[in-house]
Amino acid sequence: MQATPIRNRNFTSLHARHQSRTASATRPQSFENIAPVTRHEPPKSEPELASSPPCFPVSLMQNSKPRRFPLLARQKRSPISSLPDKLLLEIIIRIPSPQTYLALSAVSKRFNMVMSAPYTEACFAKQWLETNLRSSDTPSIIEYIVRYVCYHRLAPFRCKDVSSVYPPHCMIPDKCRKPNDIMTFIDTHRGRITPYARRGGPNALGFRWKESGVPVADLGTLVWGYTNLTPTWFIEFYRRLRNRVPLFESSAGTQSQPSMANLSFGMEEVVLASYLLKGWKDSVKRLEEDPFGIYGSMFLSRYGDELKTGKIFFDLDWFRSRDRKEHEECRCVC
Amino acid sequence: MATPSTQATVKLQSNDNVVIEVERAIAERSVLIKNMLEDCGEVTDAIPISNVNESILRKVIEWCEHHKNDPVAAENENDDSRKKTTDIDEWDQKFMNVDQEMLFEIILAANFLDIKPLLDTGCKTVANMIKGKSPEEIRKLFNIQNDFTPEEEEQIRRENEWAEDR
Repeated sequence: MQATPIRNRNFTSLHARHQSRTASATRPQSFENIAPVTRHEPPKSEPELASSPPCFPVSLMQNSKPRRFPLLARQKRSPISSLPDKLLLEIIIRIPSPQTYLALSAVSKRFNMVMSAPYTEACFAKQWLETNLRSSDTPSIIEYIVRYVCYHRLAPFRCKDVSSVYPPHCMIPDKCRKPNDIMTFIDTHRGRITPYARRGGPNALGFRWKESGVPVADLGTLVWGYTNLTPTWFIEFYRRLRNRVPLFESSAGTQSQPSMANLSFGMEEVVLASYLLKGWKDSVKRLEEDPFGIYGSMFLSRYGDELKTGKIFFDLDWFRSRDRKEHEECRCVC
Repeated sequence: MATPSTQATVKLQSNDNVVIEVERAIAERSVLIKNMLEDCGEVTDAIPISNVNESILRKVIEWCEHHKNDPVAAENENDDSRKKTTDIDEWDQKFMNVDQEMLFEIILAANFLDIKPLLDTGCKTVANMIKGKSPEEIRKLFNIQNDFTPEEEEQIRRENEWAEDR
């Protein structure tokens, strides 16, 4: 091995660094010994390895020839990568939308690792829902979802009785009592749907249970009415809910009254809520743009302010009274 | 309003050995310094802020001066309302309009000095920077190396498909 004096010097200092880190007593005698230290570098071909200084971390620290290592130099100029995970989490939970969250998690392995952790997702979900619950223009749609998932998150698949996922005033025929029939149930019992609702407009009148005539407030209908989501998406949604690692689940289980503070949320609810929120906002915008049109005249005359809060579309009273009566009223048999 | 301590100013020493004298009330925006002063009583020597250099320290002090009259955030995390909004006030937006290196240094300093509102503002600023961007755009923005194999990238894309904008 023909080592130049410079190489020798670097070699020694690298060795010192290496030794201090690993407490290794063996003095490296060839480049092969150094190889483990350079593991962050992509594999190099033999001649390239020989031509490059043997101890790039040292030379990089000394800022001698940074251009020789474009990869490292680039990483060095990425200040966000130097943040510890704790601070990354602080940034991540403040991301304004689930789509942006998922985009960031597809950026690099490190981000993916941090962001796909159930804990991170739960923190983000909690923060997102709280932020949106507090903002002035939040309609009750978020509260609806919050309350809905609070009681019925896994109900369609955990419960033997489908009726537990619907408000008590909905009559459920015997043939639909099996969990897997939920889509059939929604399809056959959604009731009369007007063309306006079909276009995604806010149309409480269009969603009534066939049997009782009571305005519908079930998740499937909302998803259908305000978004372009398909039943396939809905099935995927529940699949994800089922597979989700439970976090923050109150240890008292069903004994304690669920409250906004101790709910368990994940990306699924956030994504769903963001779609609904968007759909709801679009609907209100359409109404405001065309108050005398076919949407506007019908609603503004009758419901006025209730429209702004979204109250008219979601049967929140039922959920609110249910919250007060705690869990015992839930007909869930899981 | 009489405060238990009469000390009007404290000296802070950055890691490049620059001593900056600031009003005690301003320095106490930092929970770290506040606790230190409470524990030690009168401190005449400069307090070494070992993780923060001069320019960042001055920047942080500038922020503390502007926000010295803000109500101190509630102890209880759950009641903490400043976390619950995505808005950043105009002065803070201008304040945070610095290069990335500086921005992340400020975040690190805010974390070290335990100035929660500043940390919050900094993190929100970063979160807003990536708002609505694609993974490729984020990589460009922060100079992050894409270390996924094409297969992994495809798998993540498929995983996230269900939550795409629609």
